[in-house]
Amino acid sequence: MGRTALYLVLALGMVMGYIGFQMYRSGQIASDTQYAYLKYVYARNLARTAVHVTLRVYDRNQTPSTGQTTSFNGGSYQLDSLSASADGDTLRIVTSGSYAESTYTMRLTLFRTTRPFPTVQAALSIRATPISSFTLSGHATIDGHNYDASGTLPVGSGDLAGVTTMNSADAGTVTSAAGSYIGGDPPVKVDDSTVDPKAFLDIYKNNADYVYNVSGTYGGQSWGSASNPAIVFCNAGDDTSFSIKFTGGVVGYGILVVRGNVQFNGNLNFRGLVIVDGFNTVVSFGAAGTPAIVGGIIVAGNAGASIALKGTGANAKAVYSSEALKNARNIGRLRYYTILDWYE
Amino acid sequence: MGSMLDMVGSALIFGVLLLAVGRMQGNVNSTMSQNTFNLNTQTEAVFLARLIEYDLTKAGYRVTGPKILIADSTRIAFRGALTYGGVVDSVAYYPGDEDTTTTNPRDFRLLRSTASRGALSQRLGMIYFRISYYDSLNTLMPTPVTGANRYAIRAIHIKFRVESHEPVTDAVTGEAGYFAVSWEKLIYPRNLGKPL
Repeated sequence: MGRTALYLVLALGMVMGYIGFQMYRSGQIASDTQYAYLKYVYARNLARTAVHVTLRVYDRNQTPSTGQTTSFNGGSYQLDSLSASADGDTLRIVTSGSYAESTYTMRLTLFRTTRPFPTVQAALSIRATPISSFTLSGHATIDGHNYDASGTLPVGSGDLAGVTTMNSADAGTVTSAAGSYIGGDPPVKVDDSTVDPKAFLDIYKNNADYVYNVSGTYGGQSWGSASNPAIVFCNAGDDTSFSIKFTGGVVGYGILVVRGNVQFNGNLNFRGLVIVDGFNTVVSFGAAGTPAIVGGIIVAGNAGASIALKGTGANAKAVYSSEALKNARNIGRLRYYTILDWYE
Repeated sequence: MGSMLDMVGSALIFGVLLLAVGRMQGNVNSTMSQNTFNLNTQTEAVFLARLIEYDLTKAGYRVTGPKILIADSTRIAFRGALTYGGVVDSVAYYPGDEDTTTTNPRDFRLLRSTASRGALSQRLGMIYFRISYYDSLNTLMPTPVTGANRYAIRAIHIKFRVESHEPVTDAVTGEAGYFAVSWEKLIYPRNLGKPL
């Protein structure tokens, strides 16, 4: 009898063990189902992280490394492959994220550009109208012929006007003020399609790499480089007695926003886009070297704008250069990507 | 006499044990069925979530022209290639008839239809299925989104709730109920912003 009872209890124990195991297994499968979804979501987020990391490296004008696994949040991600079009505008990116045994792959094609970046249609495009005063004095010249990025060699094609204005009256003002100091195809032209960069100024200010908001005298400055251009904001305000002076040599690449009385008494060499904003703006070239703005200048659409380009030294010039403008577009902070295709 | 007492005692203990085992068996059966329904419901919810995510992330991929065809609160139809470099297909999700094969009085079938493979009516225990749409400013768009407004859709919010097909009776309280899983997600199909 006792042995029978023992067998019964043992059998009962086995049955209960089996049932318990089944219950555990059922719960385990439920957990696995949820966890599998979690792993899938994590892997996808990591693949997306790889996309963002790749683009931020591009924004610093560096080349991302492929096949390099980075651990993050318990998983890993990597840039599997990367190819760019010849002009660098179109990027084809493949990234993957891994979490536990889940892997997620993203394949995308992006068009990269800089936003906002107004189209330059002359060496000096004046959107402001009417122009209350335009002065081109000393040895400053403006040339709409297309030069290379150094501003010394004419390309031979892609020439633009020297100066464009919104109407013929302003064109007359410029012509009478500048005379033979303006070159281009033609030297002065009426073009009312010039983009008003005022809408972009806040973005430039908020993303500026160098800001000069305090009246005073500054020594030599270096703003960015050809491969890593910068945004510079010089705000001397509307009061002409308030001025910003650069006494040393100034070298810059990218976008330069000038507002008010700004004097470059040293040798200025800026390659890229210069935006003249506001009333009573005076840009003075005041050195004996070859101060130059190579790229393009746009005067924002402030009615009654007063602009003076003074070349107190020798050979000061503002020349159009499509190459310098193209380089200036590589400002990482203004980089903008448009999705052409995204597969995940 | 002692032997008799042993037998009576053994019988009593065995009886008590049998009752305990019977009671436990009832609880185990109930828990097992709950686990099973719970597992099925979760599995179906996860399956559907992944299917919807897979499809919606393809919306607009390799498409020229309109990408969203129908954008209503319970119905969506869009175009997109479902495989990498594949042929553009049309995909639609919409609720079907009440599911009469289950005990659950609220569930209905969900249909996933593609132009290439036709409609597939799915028994998932779906009791709630809602879709809302957002533009590039993350502003909720009133449904149905029609005409050119469909081109402004940038994000799609999907919310559904599935329940077990059969009720589960609580072994303790005796109350019957349905296991439920809710899922919702705001999905940004990356290809919707491409020009037409």
